[in-house]
Amino acid sequence: MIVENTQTQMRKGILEYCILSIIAKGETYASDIIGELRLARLMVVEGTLYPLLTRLKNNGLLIYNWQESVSGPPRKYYKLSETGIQVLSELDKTWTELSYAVSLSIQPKNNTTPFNS
Amino acid sequence: MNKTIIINISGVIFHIEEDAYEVLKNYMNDVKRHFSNSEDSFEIITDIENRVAEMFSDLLKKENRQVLIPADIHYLIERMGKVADFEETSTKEETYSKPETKRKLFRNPDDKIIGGVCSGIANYFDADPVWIRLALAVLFFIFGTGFLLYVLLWIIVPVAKTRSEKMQMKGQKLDLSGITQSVKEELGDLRRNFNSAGTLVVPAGDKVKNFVQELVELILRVLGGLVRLIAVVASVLFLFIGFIGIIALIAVFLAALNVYPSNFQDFFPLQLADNSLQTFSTVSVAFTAIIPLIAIFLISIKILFKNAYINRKLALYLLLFWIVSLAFTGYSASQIAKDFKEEGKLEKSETLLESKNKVYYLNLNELTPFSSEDSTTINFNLFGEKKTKVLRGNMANSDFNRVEIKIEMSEDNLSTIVSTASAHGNTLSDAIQNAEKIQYNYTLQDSIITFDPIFTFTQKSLNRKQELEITLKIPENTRLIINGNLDRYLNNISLWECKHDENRDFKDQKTEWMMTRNGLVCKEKRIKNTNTNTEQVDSTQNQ
Repeated sequence: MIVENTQTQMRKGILEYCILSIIAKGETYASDIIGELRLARLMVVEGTLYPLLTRLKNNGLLIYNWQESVSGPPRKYYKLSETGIQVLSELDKTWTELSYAVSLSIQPKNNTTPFNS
Repeated sequence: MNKTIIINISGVIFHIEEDAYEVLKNYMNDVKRHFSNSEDSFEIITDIENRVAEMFSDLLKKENRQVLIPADIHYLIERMGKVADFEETSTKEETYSKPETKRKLFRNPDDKIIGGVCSGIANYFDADPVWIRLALAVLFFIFGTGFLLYVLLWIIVPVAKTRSEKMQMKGQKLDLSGITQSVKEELGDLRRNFNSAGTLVVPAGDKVKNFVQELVELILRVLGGLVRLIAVVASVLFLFIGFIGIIALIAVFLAALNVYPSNFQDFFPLQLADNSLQTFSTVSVAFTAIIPLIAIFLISIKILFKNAYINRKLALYLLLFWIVSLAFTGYSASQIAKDFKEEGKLEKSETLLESKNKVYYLNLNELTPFSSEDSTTINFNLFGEKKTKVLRGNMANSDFNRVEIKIEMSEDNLSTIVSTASAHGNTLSDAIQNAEKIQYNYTLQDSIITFDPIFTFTQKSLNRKQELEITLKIPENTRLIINGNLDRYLNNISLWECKHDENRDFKDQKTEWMMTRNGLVCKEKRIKNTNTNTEQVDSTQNQ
């Protein structure tokens, strides 16, 4: 349980960052996002994505526009808003710090500065 | 061959097989329910529906099909994810951290004793209703303040009717955490109307009306409960009466039919009918009497046990049978009534010897020899001590063959005893014949006349209203010394009016009477209570 809980928390923490990063590459459709997330094994089911996108949009990080679709109803294409771009650059920094912290933490003992000497 | 249904998802028309539709419908409902607690549920669900429509379109195009099949729905669910999968990354945190909204004071209709006032207050303060009720009950005894307060609150505080009001009462935020699935759906509808409903101002008149209505409902409920209680008590009683009655009647009628030895035949009304009619009439009377008791018994059971089943056919047969036995009873009654058509009388008179001093002593013959038929042997158990006692039961105790004695003034100077025997019959000769069977004895010994208390029959007779009247005619100024035990046989005088010792058994006391022009007069009248009181006072003074 503890393991699962921590895993969930970790995934959840980086999920929004990943989504923002994917959208940052250009106007994106939700099912494209899920495709990439699935590839990255961050998210398996599509249903989970929609609440996240809506929340990000309502927080002003994303904007969308409708585009006609050849199959089915019109699609929502998301892109980052001005705020979104700023937030993402902040998050980029945080991620760099975090990844440094993590890589430092998981380094084998002999390579680190000895604490116990 | 499969039935298909046409559905519209986000404006796109799909044909879908019936069983696939069921699965899809359930899935979409689950999804809707899951997101219904989110602020953005509408948008999220629209997004999902759009995606579903798109997926289906793609699927049908790719496989060149017209109709959605269950496999397509399973594919959709796999891609979109089950509701359980959503939980992981859903906005759980947010819902948990939402603070309770401000509580509102409502009356609680779900947990009420009278009007739900205490329960509502308890909810408002997040307390156990018991304490509020206790407090109000205590206040009730302080000049009825509790009562007044309660009624006021009942009138003023609105009842929580809708779910949203109930949730406000409990301070629950209008989301769905902690509420069961079914309630969630219900709330989805309520939520849309909530803003208008929550601020709706109820006019004061309506509040009073509401109160009166509830009060009336309460009274009706109490009355209904009372009526039910009475019905139950009554039916238990009837059940008991019915049961005892049935048993008793069966015993009586078996006795009447001589199934076991008894002298029932000698009693009214069995002496009415002759042997040929007796069995027949007894049976019909028995059924006429028992069937209503059975009906009462069954109805009581029905009232007591709601599930009890009374066979309609049986009830119908009982009714028919009852009507038939009623008819037979009527027939027997009419047969018997025929024998009462005519009345015959036989008169016999005997002149008495003139007595010395013009005095006659009247006495009752208590030592009448009774036949074994007349005496009743009763076996009774007194305080656990078994005693057997033979009572000289005497038929005079029933009014049937008791003699009646009248005392009149004779027109001549002779004293006579006239005995008149009368009886009824179908014809006059029958009636006279019946009267002839009456046998009565009195003895004359000097001036002492001893009367038998009852008349008997020379042969076994049916009850045909046989009567025996003795008329004692005595000349003016004749004195009578009458024994107290004759009192109940004397028709036109009461021996009690004469002076007697109140402390002694009246039966053994003699009173003295005198025949005058105005009838028989007591020589010394009884002194009424006032006098006995003074006597008592005197006696205490003497002590």
